[in-house]
Amino acid sequence: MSKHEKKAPSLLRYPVLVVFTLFFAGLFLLDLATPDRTYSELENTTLSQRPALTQLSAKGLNSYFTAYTKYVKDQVFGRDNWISLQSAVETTLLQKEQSGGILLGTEHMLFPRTYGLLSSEERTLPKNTAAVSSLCQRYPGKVNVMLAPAASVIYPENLPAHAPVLDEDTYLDQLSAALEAAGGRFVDVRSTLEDHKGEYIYYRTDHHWTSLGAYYAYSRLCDTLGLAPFDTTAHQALTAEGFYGTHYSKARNWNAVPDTITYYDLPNRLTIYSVTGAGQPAEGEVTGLYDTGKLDVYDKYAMFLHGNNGLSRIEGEGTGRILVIKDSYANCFVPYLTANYAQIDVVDFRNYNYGLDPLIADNDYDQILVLYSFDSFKSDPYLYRAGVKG
Amino acid sequence: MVFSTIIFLFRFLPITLALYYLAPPKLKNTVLFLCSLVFYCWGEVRFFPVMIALILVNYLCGLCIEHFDQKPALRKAFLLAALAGSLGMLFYFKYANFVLRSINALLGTGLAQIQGIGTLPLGISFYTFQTLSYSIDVYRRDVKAERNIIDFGAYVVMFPQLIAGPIVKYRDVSNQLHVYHHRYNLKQIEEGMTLFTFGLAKKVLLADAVGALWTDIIGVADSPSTTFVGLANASTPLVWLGIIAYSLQLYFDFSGYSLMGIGMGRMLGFDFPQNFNYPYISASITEFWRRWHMTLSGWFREYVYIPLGGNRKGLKRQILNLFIVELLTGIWHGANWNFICWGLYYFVLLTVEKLFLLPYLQKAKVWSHIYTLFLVVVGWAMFVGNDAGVSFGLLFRKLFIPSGGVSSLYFLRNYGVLLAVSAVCCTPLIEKLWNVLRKHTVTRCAVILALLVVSTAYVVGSTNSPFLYFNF
Repeated sequence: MSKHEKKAPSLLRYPVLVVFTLFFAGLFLLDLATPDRTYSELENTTLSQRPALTQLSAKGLNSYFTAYTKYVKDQVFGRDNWISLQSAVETTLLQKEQSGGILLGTEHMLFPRTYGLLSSEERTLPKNTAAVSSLCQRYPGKVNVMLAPAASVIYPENLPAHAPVLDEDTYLDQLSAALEAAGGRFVDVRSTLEDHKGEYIYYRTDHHWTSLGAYYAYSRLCDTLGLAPFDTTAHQALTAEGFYGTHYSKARNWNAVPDTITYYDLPNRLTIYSVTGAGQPAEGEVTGLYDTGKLDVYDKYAMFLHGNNGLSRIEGEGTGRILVIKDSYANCFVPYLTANYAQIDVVDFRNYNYGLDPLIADNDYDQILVLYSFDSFKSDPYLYRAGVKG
Repeated sequence: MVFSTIIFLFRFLPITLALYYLAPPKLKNTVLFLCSLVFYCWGEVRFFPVMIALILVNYLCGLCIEHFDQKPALRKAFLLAALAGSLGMLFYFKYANFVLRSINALLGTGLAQIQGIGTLPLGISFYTFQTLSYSIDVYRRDVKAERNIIDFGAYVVMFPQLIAGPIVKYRDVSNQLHVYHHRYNLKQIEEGMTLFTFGLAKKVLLADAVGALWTDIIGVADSPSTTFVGLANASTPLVWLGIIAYSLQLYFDFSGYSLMGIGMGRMLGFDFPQNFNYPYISASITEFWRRWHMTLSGWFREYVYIPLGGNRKGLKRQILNLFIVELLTGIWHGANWNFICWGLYYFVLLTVEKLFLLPYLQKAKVWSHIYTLFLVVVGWAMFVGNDAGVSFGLLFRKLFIPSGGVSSLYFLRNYGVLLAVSAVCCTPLIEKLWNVLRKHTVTRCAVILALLVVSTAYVVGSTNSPFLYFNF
């Protein structure tokens, strides 16, 4: 009794000691007490799990220590809140104009920090250009290439002042010339998007364009090919609120304004093929255009076309066939094509590990559309497959 | 293990401190020794034998030097054995490949590089200097040889100062190491915790954050997916801004780390020497070196400069001694020509000051500070001139031949507040502010808690926070 009475006041004479000890001991215990997560929705990444020590050699111990260090960092108590706090300190106290590698623009727009081409992109950009040029040469007159510019190209005035972001315009001009020379059609959507920049054509918190932005780009394609565009008034537009995109998951800025996803209620059938080889596969799963279940999770954009599947087919109301080779920018674009084609085949090379020639031979497409954002065109490590013959 | 990581802050440190405080007095050094070995091995297990060998060699040589007290030849022989052990290890891991490369380059020979020593054993530049000081001190009869190998081992591998100093001489801590009861008191622990918190904040809130400006320009060596401007594309003002940011980062990084070490030392009951004393307020290069990495300068003064005669053998000899010390200082910082350049650069500056400039600098109020800061920043440009993403020639051309390119405006705006805060934290103003805030319990606790919370947020949020002196 008397011992305790003595101890308490003496500890209180060292308040910093108490604060410090409680902080570290408290976090240590909370860390042990909270269950581990397998996946971070906010960061869109799997989190490391507790490693097991498999062998008692130098190598085994080293990899165990490394894995354990990463595990503790990934599973730290309150991870998401710590990251938000860091972002809040950086943007408010330190008045920084970027957070987590994202530039914080005006009107709540977030931009990726792209100061220049990475050394890997110095290699992939020419490689991808050559691959698409080869596709244009193999199918003369059929290949249309559309490269979506980043939001910073359309909204340079919303970037933080003097931010040294990559000049996409120069690259797009060069690509246009190279692909036209190879016998392709470069569908330049920059001026079209600029004409509509007063509208909601890019997400604030995500790297994609909105369904409206995609629609204007699609109209530009219709102009080029002489098609009658999808009639937006004839279909019901549905919306989903509260979309925080990929830029937000990096920036984690406290004042982000969530986005709204719009999609048209369309009854078309979508077949997701199980790709096992080159050419037209037989097996596939039939579903609709949208995976509305994704509207309840963090990555809402994944609702379009059920994400990035290797090969899928949409049955449209138009005539003829089109092949779309694409990244995720096309996911909200492709539904409009149902107005123009009877069969829309969609290839995403991330999950389609073959050349295109057998597929094209099996289906005899009327048009081929290569639709990428410039950002992924310069870095995509799989697009080279478009240039693979046979 | 790096101090500014979750694994250290919320695993290693609480567990180690708890074990240390709970251990019976006689076992405290054992706990310290074993925990420190875990700390040492965490990054690289392969170097465990290196540490054990170093401890054994110096322990045994120390005992023998003392045992053969009356036999000068044997004493000298064991001293040389101990020096060969420490210096040999340092040379083998840090300099052997550099020497081989240099011989190949100079003579056109094709000597093969030694494999498997691409990474340095953690903190080897620091703990070999500590064992050197031990053996020399025993030889000089300044301290008694340590008989208990656990106590000696605890001194050599003691985790607070293992990776980045301060370089603690054995005689600085030998008394405390043998105090088993009441080694520490609550007041001391509290002081240690305060110092640790400031050190952590310096490292993660200032060093890492302001260093990002420099990596915006040159990129991050081990993260090829991080976008950067590129030194070749940057304008001259931006490169100057970058090198100033790097200078701030280096100071906060190193002094923050030292301060964390000193703080943890105090929590364990040891008084480590101060390592930095506001170096950037110096009014001369001479003063700068009295304020920067003081334990290293002190080490060279005590074990090289003064034994060589210091300033007692005439001016010419003094300048030679200065040359040797600065050359060694340069080499100590890294096995590369740019570090040698950097050391010799300071030799020239110190000599010029010694010969005639110092009296003028002491009279001046303003320009002496500008002069010092300018030369120190240029020195750091040499220092960083060999890093990945930097080319020595390009960096100096960019600095001294005005050229256009990516403007500095965005970076000034983005990092402006941080740069201003950093500048204030380089001066004793920050200490004055703390002296006001610490007077009241509430403000004192609030400051410490706020720094801990925000630092933790930065530690969790950071994807990349290398410790610059890690490879020293």
